[in-house]
Amino acid sequence: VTAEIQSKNTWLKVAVVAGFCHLFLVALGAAEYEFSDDHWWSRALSYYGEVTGSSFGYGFFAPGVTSQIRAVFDVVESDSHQNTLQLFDESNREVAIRIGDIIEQFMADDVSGDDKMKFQRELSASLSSAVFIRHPGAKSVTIRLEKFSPISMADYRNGVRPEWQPLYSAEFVNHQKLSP
Amino acid sequence: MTIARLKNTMVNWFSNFMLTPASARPLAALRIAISLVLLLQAFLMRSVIFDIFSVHGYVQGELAKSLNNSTLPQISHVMWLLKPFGASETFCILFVSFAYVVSLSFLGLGFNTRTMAFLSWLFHWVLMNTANSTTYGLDLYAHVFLFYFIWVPCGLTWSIDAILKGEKNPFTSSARVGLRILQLHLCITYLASGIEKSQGEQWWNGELMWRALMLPVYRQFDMTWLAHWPLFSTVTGWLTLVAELGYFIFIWPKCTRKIWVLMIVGLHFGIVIFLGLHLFGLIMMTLTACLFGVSAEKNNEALQ
Repeated sequence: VTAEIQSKNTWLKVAVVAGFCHLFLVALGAAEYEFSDDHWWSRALSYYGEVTGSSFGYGFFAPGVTSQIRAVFDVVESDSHQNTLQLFDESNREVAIRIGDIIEQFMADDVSGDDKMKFQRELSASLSSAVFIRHPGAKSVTIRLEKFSPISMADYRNGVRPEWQPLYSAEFVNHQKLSP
Repeated sequence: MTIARLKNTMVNWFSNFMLTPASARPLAALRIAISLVLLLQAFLMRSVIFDIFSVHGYVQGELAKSLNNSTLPQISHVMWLLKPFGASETFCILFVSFAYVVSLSFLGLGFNTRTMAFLSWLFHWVLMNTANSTTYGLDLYAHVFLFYFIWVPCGLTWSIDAILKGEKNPFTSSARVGLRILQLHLCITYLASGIEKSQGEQWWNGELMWRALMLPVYRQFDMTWLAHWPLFSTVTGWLTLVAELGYFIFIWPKCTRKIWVLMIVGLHFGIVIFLGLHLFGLIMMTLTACLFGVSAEKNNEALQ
């Protein structure tokens, strides 16, 4: 019985030490420390962070609120009738937040210059393609990305009102429909 | 002599803090609550799983590959594994989604808890990596705590496993270790979040609450009247900072624990109602309410 208790205590001590090592990595992740790719052990710790979630940051709404981007699609149907629609039903908040996250990628900071233009073109083509799948007879789909920048309380009191501002627009044509 | 006594006192305190046998009820409550929130999320997402996870969905082909980390498991890897059996992408998405919901249901019920925790974590991670560009705070916390459920004894009570073993509410040191690690993790997240927020000017001058409530994605009610009551918005921002920065300290003493639990639950209830972040708010309320609000002690002293 004594040996069993001692063995149990050893495992508990190991669990405590492992737990605190893990929490140390959690603290590093929360402080937004990123392991480099230079050594095998730093790559291993980086992968451990992905596996366990210890590398995640927690700066929600920090340091502040900036702007929002939305995508609106003008669909010209086969009978030339035009519809304006969004990708999702706004009443389903969970879906709205997720698709909003995809659209927010449009302004991602990790690419710039020509790469950013290429990425924006690919993303708008991808989103428009999803609209074509829902409207297979459509002649064209125009994606309009609009930006909403909130104003300060003082500006609001002075009569300024925030509006959606055009940010990007691209038209995609269904060539299959145009061919004889 | 004094140093030896101090060292002895610290070792005893740490040993009591980490190893005093505890009930697994807070861990079991968290297991059930997180499973329910994630099942609700799966139910809400049911109509868009192909739009989100398919290479023919919103984020297509090469673009999806560039936004995802290919070294992490995702549905394309499941397709590769099942390719010899002729499995299509549609089948793989349905298979992973169905397996995730089933394992999550059994995790909530506490049947083969550790195995189900592993499967829930794995399938959740696969889905998360497949649609990396759609993830937000809820997914991050779910991933972290599903991983913990593999290791902590969250199935010791309020579970089918406990009923089958005939155990009602055992007190174990392993439950205490698990509970402390999860509690400390939550403290670190609130401290980090509070520090990052405190570096933003908007959190100090009231603009944060105002701007967040004005953004169409979060706007639930007409809150434009706030512009004429800036003090209200400012004080709400300060209270959020106090709640998050003070969490690490004031969640522990019995005399302040109840206040902090109520503050944090209130903060996230506000996020649910006024920002419409329903599931994120729910999971955050659940974390503090279960880990610090449910008693692990023999005399039920968690909130007394």
